[in-house]
Amino acid sequence: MTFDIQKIRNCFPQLKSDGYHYLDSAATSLTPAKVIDAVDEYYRDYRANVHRALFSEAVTATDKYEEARRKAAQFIHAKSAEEIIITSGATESSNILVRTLEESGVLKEGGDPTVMTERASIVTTEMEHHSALVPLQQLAKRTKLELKYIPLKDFGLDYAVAEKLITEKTALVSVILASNVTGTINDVEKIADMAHKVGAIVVVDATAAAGHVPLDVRKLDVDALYFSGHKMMAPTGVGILWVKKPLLEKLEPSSFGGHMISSVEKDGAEWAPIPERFEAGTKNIGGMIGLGAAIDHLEEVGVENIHEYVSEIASYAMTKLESIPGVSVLAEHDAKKNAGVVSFVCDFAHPHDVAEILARDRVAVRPGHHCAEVLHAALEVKATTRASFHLYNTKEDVDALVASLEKARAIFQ
Amino acid sequence: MDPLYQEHILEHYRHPHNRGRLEDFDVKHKGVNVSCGDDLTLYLKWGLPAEGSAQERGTVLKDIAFEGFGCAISQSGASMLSDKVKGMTKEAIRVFEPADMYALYGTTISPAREKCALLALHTLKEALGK
Ligand SMILES: Cc1ncc(COP(=O)(O)O)c(C=O)c1O
Repeated sequence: MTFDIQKIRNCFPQLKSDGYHYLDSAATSLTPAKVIDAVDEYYRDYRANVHRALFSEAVTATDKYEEARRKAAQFIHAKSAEEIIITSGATESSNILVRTLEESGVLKEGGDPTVMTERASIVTTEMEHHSALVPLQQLAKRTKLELKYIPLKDFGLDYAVAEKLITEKTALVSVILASNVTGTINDVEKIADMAHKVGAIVVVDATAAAGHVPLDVRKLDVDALYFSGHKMMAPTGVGILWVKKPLLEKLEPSSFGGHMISSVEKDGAEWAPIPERFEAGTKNIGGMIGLGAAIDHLEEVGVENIHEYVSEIASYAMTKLESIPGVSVLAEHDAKKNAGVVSFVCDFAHPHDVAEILARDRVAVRPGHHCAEVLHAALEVKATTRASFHLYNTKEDVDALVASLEKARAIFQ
Repeated sequence: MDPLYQEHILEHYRHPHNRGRLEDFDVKHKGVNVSCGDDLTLYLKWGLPAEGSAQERGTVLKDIAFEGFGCAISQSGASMLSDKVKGMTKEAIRVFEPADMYALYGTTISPAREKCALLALHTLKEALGK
């Protein structure tokens, strides 16, 4: 693999200043100039709302916007762009999806109408981000479906327990592809296989995986998958919800307004075709065009190559961190199965204090529960310090992290 | 010396005063720093002071203890504040302000750490109403 790190770093304006060690990509990635330019161009040259209007700016905006939708479809190997719903991010995707699955009645019969049993449970994992988990908890409350958790086993999932939890009574299985805390890349194919054997719908949160793990919805064989643009070099405020066409066609919209209708009369409205039916209101057009450019950037380098490169840095980080007395790494240690996230705890200091000392050395990490409190409870810690890596990071960033942590140890011990 | 983690702050963090729980308490109240999930539980025992006229006496904080999980700033703050308010009247505690809390730290608290620094005080103020 040829990975010209200097060339890559030069693409990111924020890395211009020396001595900045950005280790918070799991919160949001940096933006390459190409993406900034694409967004800038939209606002400077052809800003217009999309669809219907006939002036050339609107036509260009629509073309670029729809081109970005097609790129998103290709990025995850979706069958067609019709399956791509543009949202404001993973959180909105998750909320829309859960609502529409509930309101369309498909949870009752599961994903497969030929398997007709009394569906009584939702299965998820202890690893979920709050944006996936809380909508499921609310759904469970409203529908009286029981919410069950696949537990952790080391830093991965316990597939033997998953096998027991996923039964003919399961309506929905929601699983995170890569953890934003431990970095663990889960075997979603295996979970999907268990779920489909009993006719349950499979939903995947790919937010921490996007840009780190090649996404192939057909290979994963799942029913719905979502992610945010801002974790994969695109601007904030834009995200994707993919739903497999046969399921999508059965779903009722849960949000109403302009753009999602084909006609409105006094006594009711007819819905637009998929996917517009699920896209009420004006979306983040510039953001979506930026997402298209971000996908170009990722694909130029190659997601596979990014994973290989980032794995090496993550592996180096884990070894270095574990050589510091009092530091425990809470992350998937097999770097090939880690999406570039290394969380840790220090017996000498609280994550907030660690992050404060690190910040003085321009080492940007994140303390806290990273919107995954159930996962932290399973790991038996309240909070962790998280270092997360992307294609622009280097071993020097890790060295700076380690040197700064040694300073923290000297202060607090 | 570190600008934030000064010796007296670290001392309170390493060897906190009034840490633990009270067996005999009037109020138990838990406060949470929603930004990081840290929590702090206060135990308060109210009583009458030994001296002074009945009107002046009011209710005083006879004893206080805290437990919880948090950073050096929130934990040392709970330790320093508990020392400070022990023996104070309810009225005096009511008018104890964030500025007074910062004075206990004796150093500049950045906006990012305000919630940590004020966790104990906010929890105490909430507990006053109980
Ligand atoms: C795994 C995972 N899922 C979902 C989200 C939510 O993303 P957003 O805040 O962009 O909606 C995040 C972001 O923190 C995440 O890491």
